[in-house]
Amino acid sequence: MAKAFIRNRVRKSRFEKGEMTQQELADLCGCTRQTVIMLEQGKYVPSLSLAFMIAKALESSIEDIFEYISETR
Amino acid sequence: MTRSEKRALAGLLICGTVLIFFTLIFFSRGGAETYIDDTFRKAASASLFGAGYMIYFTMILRTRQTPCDERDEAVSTRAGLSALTIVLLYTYILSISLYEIYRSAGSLPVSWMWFIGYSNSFVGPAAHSISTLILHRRAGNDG
Repeated sequence: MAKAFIRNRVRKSRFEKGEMTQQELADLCGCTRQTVIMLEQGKYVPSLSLAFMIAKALESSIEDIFEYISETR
Repeated sequence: MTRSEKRALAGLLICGTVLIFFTLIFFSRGGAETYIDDTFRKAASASLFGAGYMIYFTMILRTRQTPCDERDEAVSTRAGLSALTIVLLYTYILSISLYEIYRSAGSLPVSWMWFIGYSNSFVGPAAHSISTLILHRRAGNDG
């Protein structure tokens, strides 16, 4: 049974983008700061459209921000 | 705390207050046995629920423009399912409890129907609010 999860580099990319605040990123993506917090803590996996918006806001490709990890048991 | 959580907290306060005062009204002055013939308590309950509904729906209407994102919507959907389950469990447990309490008597005071009906109408929104607050803390909803 394969177990998969999504790892993200939002926090790292945010700091690389001139220390963009969570609120600034949230405003650019049309989500709440709490969602950005949950994303960075790995407690929430965004929808595909939000993932694209985050990547766009951080001027990166979606592959650079989100990584699909599959574990086969 | 997000606006969605603040809204849920306000809803919980309104519904919780109505339910507490209704329970106090229902069980005062003789309880279920005398409620159906007590015009004052029936009028007080109706007024309480009328006022409660007006305040609750005013709050809902005034905050419906609250900006929310996909996580808020996911939480709200899951909270709705949790609320439905809680209402079904509440009704089931209350009904079975009443059956067990009044089984030897052979019948139960018809006032309990008022209690089940009135309380159910606010248990649902209260359960939705509680579920929303819990799910926002756990945040385990994926888009």
